[in-house]
Amino acid sequence: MQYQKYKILFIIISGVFCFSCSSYKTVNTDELFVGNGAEVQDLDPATVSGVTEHRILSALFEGLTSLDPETLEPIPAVAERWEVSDDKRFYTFFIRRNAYWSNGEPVTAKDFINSWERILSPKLSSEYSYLLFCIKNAKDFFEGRIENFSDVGAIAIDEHTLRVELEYPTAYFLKMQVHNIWYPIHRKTIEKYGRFDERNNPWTHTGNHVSNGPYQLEEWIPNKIIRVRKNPYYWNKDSVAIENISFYPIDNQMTEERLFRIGYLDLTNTIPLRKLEYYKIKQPQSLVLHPYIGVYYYRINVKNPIFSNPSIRKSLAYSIDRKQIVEYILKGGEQPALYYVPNGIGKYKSPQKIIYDPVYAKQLLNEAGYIDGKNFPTIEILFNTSEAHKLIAEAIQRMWKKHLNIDVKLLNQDWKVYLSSMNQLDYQIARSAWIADFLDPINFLECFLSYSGNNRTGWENKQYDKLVEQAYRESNEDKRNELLFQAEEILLEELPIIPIYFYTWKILVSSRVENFYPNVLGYIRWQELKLKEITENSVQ
Amino acid sequence: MKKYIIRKLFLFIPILLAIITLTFFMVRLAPGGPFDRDKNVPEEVQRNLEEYYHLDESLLKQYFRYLYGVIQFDFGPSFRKPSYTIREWIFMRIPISFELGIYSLIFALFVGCTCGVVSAFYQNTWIDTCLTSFAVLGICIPSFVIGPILVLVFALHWEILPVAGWDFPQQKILPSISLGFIYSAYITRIIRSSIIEVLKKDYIRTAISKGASVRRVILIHTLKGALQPLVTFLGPATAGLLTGSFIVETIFQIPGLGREFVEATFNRDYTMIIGIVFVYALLILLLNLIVDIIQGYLDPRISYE
Repeated sequence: MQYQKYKILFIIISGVFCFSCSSYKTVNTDELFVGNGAEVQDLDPATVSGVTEHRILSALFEGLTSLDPETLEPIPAVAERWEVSDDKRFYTFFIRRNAYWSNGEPVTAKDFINSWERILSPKLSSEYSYLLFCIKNAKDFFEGRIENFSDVGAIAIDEHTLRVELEYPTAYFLKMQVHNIWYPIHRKTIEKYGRFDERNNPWTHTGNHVSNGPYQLEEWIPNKIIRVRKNPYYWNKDSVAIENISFYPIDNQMTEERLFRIGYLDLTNTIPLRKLEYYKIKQPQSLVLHPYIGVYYYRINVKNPIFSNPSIRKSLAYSIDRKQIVEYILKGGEQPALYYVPNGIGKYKSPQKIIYDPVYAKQLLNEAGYIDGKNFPTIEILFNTSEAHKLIAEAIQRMWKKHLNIDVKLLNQDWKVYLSSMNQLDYQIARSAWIADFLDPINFLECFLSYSGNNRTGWENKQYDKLVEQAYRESNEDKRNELLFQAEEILLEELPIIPIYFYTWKILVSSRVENFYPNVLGYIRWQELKLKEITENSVQ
Repeated sequence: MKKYIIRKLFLFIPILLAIITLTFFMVRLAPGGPFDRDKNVPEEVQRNLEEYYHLDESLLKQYFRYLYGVIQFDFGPSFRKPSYTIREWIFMRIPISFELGIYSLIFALFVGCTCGVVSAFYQNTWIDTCLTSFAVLGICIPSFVIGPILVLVFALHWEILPVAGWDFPQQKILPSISLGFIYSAYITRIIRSSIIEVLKKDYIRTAISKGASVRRVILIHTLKGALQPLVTFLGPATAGLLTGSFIVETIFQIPGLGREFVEATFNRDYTMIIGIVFVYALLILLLNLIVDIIQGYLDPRISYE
């Protein structure tokens, strides 16, 4: 009798379990599900700095111009048109009269001025404020030499006309507008919840947020979900096909891939290295591998006496077989980096200075006084803890031993410790990377100006500085590219860095997503994506 | 009893103070700061940020400023998540870790007690060997192995449970099992050995000689006596379940506090680290106090003096 009771209880529990399990899968044709890497810091375009934040902000906000996802050329956004002066220092933007905030108020020229003033206010300490320094007097205002923002070169001529005066003809000014730092903000909303120029302001929370993009914030549950829904006041709302987008902060790549595999995600943030082969063979239609404007390189501390001789740096650079690294370790379509600035940025073509020639590399080392690597001290490669960095470092360690007969130690450090070591030049050779903030070669080359905070190698070259500074001021594109080409030639001759490979944008995209155009910026124009009608079986 | 609790609660103050002080200075010793980034920020920005968060002040001044805040239960703003205060953030995340911890505890207790009792009941038979092996296996296999295996079998192969998430009841099954598995193994061993020990006691022999059935003896008479070592174990175990769920939270994408703790450490989010350590310390102290009280009820020989 008692066993009978247990049996009934077991059947009931199993029934409830099976019932609940059968109902958890939902396929929603109006909603896009996106894996978005780490949790966002905030949803304030002025204070965030990461790619994960930018991806969501580009759905919530819209700048003066946008980019065509296929060609990456500027296209009208909040500004329906613009005029540029002959010397390319004055831009006049004409703002759409039908551009509205998500609360129904019109977007005006003043909203842009407010945003830029906020970013340049010292109290807010926006990490990307320097991107605005191309505006006349912006740097002086930021550093306190000018107190009145009306002296800065951004003026609202009327509600719908915005005039920007630049310090120098910034060739990439229009393309840069897609960066979140240039987005407008709704001042009244920010002031409702706190001080205008304060970081700790909850205006970005669910229910408070006001934006002007194709989508508006529906809910933000930290570390769980950010859901956005179509903004009914967006000027081009009829072209927005997807009603809702859910962004999930999933920092574990394996979990993200599993969620994609069972049809829970339509777009992933990345793909785990070890899953690449599986998707290449079994599901190539889901795998997107596209060149990306990022370069992976090794920094050399030129202040260290061992590396002060450029021949030694060259010898190290010329003895790395990059093809082996991209083919056998990375396997994601990455390209060996025989120069520093990746291809795909306008008309700019880098000088191909680096070669793989172990014999010549050894000869260079011999000439530097280390015959057959004898007496060369053991050197150390520093990298932040990661499986891929370790594999690459091990491969290079073997190559240098084989070709140059030098001993290399590997040292991995936690991210912040590694950054601290790099900032203090407390390393010999360190893994590094640069992902461009905007589509222009200067964004790569300005890193190695002698006074740039991104230099971190101790290397300085007056001629290099001069060429890059000239390029800042040059308005003719061909001449400008020529100046940058010469600068890169110096960099590749001196080699304070050893370029290893160019990144690829590696993500998974489900078959129900349409109008997705991979591009070198990893830029997604959410308002153009569409979802195919799909049955539940085919999702799995 | 009341006196004991009040005395213990007063003792919490110096303990918590010591923990805050140690954590405060230890996190500052670690190289790197909250605003160090891959892409360098202008010096002015760095300076302004440090000024805004009072990082430009002397460490001692910062410490006393922080303590003053803690007295008012204000742990300051997060360095990493500027629009939230630490208090808001912790209150938002801790219920989720608690929920996961409680489900895991229920699972661990249910499975552990059942296996322990059955194992003791069928002592030295093949059933006992199987269950003891399960316990040894459970203790040896960490949650970062159990979790993905469960996902592979139940979510990807059989497709009867979700891969990750924390919205529906079904999503809570696999994480709770992954987290509770190791504890269920420990409980199995504890229950088994204490039942076997209690079975040798005189009062059990008396009960059996009076004609009580074996099942009644085990479930009614033995289990109560065997519970005491379990309660002693449950104090730290519950604290471990509530606070040690980082790996399971990461595998199953659960927005709990464990994940936040590790992220905060990597990001050098000083205020967040100390805030979470404070909450965890308070939790462990309270759980230990509860264990002391329960033990007193279970064993009248224990004195509170």
